[in-house]
Amino acid sequence: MCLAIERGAYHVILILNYDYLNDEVINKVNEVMIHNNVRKLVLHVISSEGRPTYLEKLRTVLSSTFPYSLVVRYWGSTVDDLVKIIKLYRNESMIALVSGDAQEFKGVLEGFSINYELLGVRAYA
Amino acid sequence: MPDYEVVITTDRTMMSNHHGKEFLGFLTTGPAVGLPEKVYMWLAAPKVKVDYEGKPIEAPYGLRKVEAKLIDEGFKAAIIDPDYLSRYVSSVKVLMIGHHDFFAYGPPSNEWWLITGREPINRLSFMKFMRSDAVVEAKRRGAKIIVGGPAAWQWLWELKFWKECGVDMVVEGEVERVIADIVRKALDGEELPDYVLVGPNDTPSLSEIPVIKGASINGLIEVMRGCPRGCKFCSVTLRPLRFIPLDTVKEEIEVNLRSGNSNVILHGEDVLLYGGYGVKPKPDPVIKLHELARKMVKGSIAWSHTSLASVKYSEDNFKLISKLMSEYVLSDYQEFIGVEVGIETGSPRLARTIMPAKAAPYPPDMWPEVVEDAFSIMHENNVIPAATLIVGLPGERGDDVVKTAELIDRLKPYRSVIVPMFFVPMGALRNRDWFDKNYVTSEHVDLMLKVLNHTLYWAEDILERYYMKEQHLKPARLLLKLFMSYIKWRIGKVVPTIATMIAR
Repeated sequence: MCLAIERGAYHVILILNYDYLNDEVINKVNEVMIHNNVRKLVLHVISSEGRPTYLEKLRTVLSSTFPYSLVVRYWGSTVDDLVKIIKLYRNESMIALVSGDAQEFKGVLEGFSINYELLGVRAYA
Repeated sequence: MPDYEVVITTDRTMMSNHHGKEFLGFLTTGPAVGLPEKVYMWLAAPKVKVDYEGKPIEAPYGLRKVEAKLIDEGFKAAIIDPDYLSRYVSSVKVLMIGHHDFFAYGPPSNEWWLITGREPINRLSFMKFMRSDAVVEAKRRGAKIIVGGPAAWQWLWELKFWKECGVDMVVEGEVERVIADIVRKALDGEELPDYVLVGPNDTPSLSEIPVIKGASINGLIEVMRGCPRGCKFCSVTLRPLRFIPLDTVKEEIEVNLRSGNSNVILHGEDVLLYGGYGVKPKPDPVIKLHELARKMVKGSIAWSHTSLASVKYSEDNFKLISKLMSEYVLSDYQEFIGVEVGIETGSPRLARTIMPAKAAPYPPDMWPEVVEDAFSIMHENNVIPAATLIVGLPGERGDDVVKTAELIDRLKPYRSVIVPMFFVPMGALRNRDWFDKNYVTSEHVDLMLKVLNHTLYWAEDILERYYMKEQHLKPARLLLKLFMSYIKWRIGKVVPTIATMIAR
């Protein structure tokens, strides 16, 4: 189901809440891209805001001058939606960024051994 | 009537040839002041001719590129005039809509909006188009709506409207390499992402950029993409620099000539850099380009943009401006050439910070001198610049604005139009704050008044001597004169109040 522009991309799952920090997302994404020497990025978003309202929280991120191709996909707000993403993209290079207190999502990420970082606090699966 | 599964379109402010006067299109960036909206729209964006299918004889160049790519890839795709969209609501599966300035957040639209408090007509026209019966019905019947163009980022600030219209995807950047795949997935009913930004690694190579299949508005064709100067406020400079081969330029002029367009606008960020070495113009490729254009085109040759540094360098070193004008441009049909240029600031300090290579190959400290010399060269050679200034650049100080005002004073003797723009976060500065009216200082007001006086003086001169003198343009010319008189009258009413504010 992915577009050609998504092939070979690095995948970042963004689990968003109200209190996430734009700069951390930007810095983390840049770090990951440079470390992995990739030029394409797919953001998979889990958010309770709904489509396309969730993009308001991503404006600053999307306005940053990443020298990459960027694709943004919205998946929904539930744990099941997160599981869908992981199952579809588990063979791709992936990291998750989790904002706020999202225990149920962290549990899923750990269950699938997906590396994740808490925005504001470092933790690894 | 053929069935088009992919329809490409836009609203009237874009789907117009502006009476054959490209620069007149800038009226669409303002609100309808001084004239009833319908009359203003007729002046700024009259309808284009269409064929029996509702396909416009001339269409925006960007849409033509998308159309050409999709046709080359085997899709049943066509650009359709917005007034004829209703004919295709039952066949269209993918509705693609492009625009230069969807919501008037780009310069200079946002500035006119701020100053007048009224929404510019490009915004009003576009939103009305999206709410039209044809678009709503196409969506109701299941068409996917994909929007794109250089202003795609503006949808991030109109999320409610995005939801209302049921837009399926927003795509930003040069799309030739990716658009066929996107349309294929849309037609196959696959889930599309919400937002796609095409980065430098996915921009098309020259061989991936198709030749247009229909005429472009006023014969505009691109001769290059990208710019090497790296100014921080600019989004175009983030794209790789490519020069369109002369064979392709020739083909696209032929497409336009076949449709009855007898003029050509050579489009590039700095036309004088065509085939050049970095920031130094090279005369031979530029001359060959103009030789080709003049051999093929009996009407007018225009440039979209050039840089003041290129003007100065090419004339000082090669007498290139005077050669081009005397041997290729000026003719029985053409008395001048218009071109957009960037002054941006008259402050060497700000030039060093924000646009260190704008003056190159001259050093940034020479920037005001480069501007003045280039204006002098252009005036002597019947090149009429429409020059931009950017007000409210990040890091701007009061004395930067004063230096800019001083430069404007020195430009008085040179025929030109100067337009100040409020800073809009774009390019490398796209995560900075917008400039809004709360930041306006007395220095800004002083500068804006100087610019206005300069522009009104020379605009009247240009209109009298050169512009819209064709018989069939008499009504539009008269309206334009009325509009300018109205602006002068309004400013005259407001100036005493502003003068008091400055004195305080």
